Amino acid sequence: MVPLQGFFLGLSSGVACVATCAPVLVPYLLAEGNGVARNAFAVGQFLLGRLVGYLAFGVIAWGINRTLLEAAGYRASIMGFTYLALSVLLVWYSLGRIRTPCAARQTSGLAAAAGTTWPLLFVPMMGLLTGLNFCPPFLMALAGAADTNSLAGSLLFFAAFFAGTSLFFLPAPFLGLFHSVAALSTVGRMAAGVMSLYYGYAGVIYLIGGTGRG
Amino acid sequence: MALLKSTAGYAWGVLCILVVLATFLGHGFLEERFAKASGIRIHPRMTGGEAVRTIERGGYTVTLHRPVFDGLISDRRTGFVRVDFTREDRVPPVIEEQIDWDGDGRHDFSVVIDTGTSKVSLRAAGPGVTGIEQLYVLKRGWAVRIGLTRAPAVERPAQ
Amino acid sequence: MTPEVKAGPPRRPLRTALLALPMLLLTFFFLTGGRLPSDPKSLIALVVTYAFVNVLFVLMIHTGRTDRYRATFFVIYAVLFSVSFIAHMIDARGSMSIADDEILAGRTPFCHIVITMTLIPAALGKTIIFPGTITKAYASVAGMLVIWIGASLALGRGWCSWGCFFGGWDDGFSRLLKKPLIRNLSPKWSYLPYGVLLAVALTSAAVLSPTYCVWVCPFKAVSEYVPVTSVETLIQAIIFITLFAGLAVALPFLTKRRTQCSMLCPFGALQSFTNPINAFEVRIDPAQCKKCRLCVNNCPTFSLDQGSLEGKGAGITCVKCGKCVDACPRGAAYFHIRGTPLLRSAETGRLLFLYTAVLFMTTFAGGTIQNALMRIMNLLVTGRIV
Repeated sequence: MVPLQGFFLGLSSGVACVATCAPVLVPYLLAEGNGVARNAFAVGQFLLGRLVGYLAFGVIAWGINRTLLEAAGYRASIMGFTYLALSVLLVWYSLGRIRTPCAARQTSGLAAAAGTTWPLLFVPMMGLLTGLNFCPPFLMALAGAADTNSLAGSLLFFAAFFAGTSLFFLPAPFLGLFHSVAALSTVGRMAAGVMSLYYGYAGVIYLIGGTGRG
Repeated sequence: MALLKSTAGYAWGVLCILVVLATFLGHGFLEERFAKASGIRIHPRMTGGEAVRTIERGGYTVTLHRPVFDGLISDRRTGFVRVDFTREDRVPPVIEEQIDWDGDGRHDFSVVIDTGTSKVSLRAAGPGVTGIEQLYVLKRGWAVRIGLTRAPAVERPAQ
Repeated sequence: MTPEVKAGPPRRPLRTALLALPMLLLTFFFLTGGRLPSDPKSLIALVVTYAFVNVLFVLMIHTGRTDRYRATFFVIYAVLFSVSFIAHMIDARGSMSIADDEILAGRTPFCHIVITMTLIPAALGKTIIFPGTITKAYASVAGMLVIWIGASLALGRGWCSWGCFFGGWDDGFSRLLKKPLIRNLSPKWSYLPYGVLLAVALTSAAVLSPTYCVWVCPFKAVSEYVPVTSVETLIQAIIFITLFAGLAVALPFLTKRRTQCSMLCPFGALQSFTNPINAFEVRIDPAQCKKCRLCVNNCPTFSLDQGSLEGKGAGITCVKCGKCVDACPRGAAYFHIRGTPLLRSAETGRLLFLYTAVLFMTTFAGGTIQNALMRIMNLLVTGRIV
């Protein structure tokens, strides 16, 4: 019953997962100013990004020596780059407020591709980057998945772990109940900007080798 | 109705003065009652868990605290254990102490402190010890927070 | 030319004396605790503090002006708080920096701004993520929470103008120039504290550490800080010194606005939510208002806009400093008590507010001011502040 254990591991870690993801997800949901249904779609996209990240690691955990992934240097580098990428995304979002442009404006070229594609990828990308943070439950899942004998088993374990953690995201769309408060949209963008500074700093520190505490 | 609202409003204004008086006149009492009624406590991640064991050595005392895995609501997979080294009269130049944090009879890590330079190093003896989280240099010694992880009880599939 | 109506004509001396009498008695009681000190320095500090507070209150009553006298107290309080607090830390630990012993023993003083970071953990797990002491200590957690609740009920966001021991810094620097050098600061920046509040509340809950205190708070420059012993603490020191210099000194000086309070402080953002449930508010009479926008341009926290001039009243970010009330040449801006008829007895509204605010200010700050004065006297006499 390995998948079931993955699910229960996810359940026991869900609060920590939400706490880690909330600083990114909540500002976004507020900034968009959408209702509950649209928010549910956005949360779904965010979770999809996380799932892609988890499944990718499920493959890696099965295929490559796990201890290599867990080696501090690799972990720190991966986390550093993901945090920096998250920081860039959040700055871009808070300053630019990505919106899908009217399709009639541009029908071809890079601008059209960027304008119509990037906004769709933005939320899943946030989910992917937030999920790739080697949070403790993730490491435990990595250990659990690597101990299975098959690729399918590894993927199933991670998928079950993902499902367990995702239950705690169910209340998130209900932030849409406040969508009529126009100021929250500005507040959300500003919070995203503040978070970008935090992730930018954290990314740099991971890349230069730890917090340097005395 | 308007008169009632107006009276209530002015009464509310006067009440604010009384709130100020009550806040400061009854501050000591209110502080105690608030703390008791709310049940608030300092999160153990701030200062470390309670002291559970003290070991007297020649020249120093070792105090082991309760391992802290407390999270927001439930326990987390990662935590730490705080170990205090209190200097007595003749502290040796190097302190090396083996610590069994989970009480299973096997030592989990060793802490080595150069008492002259306050440099600390860690030797993990088992899985679950992640490293030195923080070193505190105190007036009368040192306190070290050693990072820990707890592995989940994941059943290995049959071979 | 229509004669302009100034805010509140000066009162007759007898009426002023009668109105001031309750404050004279109450402040005496709260500052002395019912006993006069025998030590000369303590007695001098007490007399100076008592006179200072009551002279300002009498001037507020007699002249009908609020802000200039409030600001005098507020700015001096901020400076003396730093004197008293830093001297206390040197007394207790030998240094302005936070010693490891203090952190581990849970003796770090609990400041009101920490409340924003403890919200989620306290609500979910009844835990305070701060290395302080719950009760019976200097700046204990429960003690500060009780004062916060009392201030929220009595003053709402008026705390930011009548209670906060940090706000006097940017308030003071914002008054140095006659005219602002930077005029067109967008009011949209007043949303930033809410973004900061959201970010620090969420990150503090995620990492179980008071992130604003550790990383951002500019007022560590005038109170206490973690000693610089690593790259991380060096970066933290650079951040808070830069923020203090920028947001509490330079920008208020250039813009004549309270930029730290209105553009960063997450506690101010939190306190805004108590304004709608507070008895006192600032309103503007559309009939008297001639749309000169003096109030809008003078408001230090961007709390007034076109809607306010048309009868909506000041926004939730209003810190009830009284600057708009004093600035209005026609007396259109006034303190109002919710539920009471608009315009009628505007002066009653102001008086009731002043009793509440000055009493709070005196009781909360009085001890600190006396302590600072004693330390200054000590310094002058013995050469030592501790």
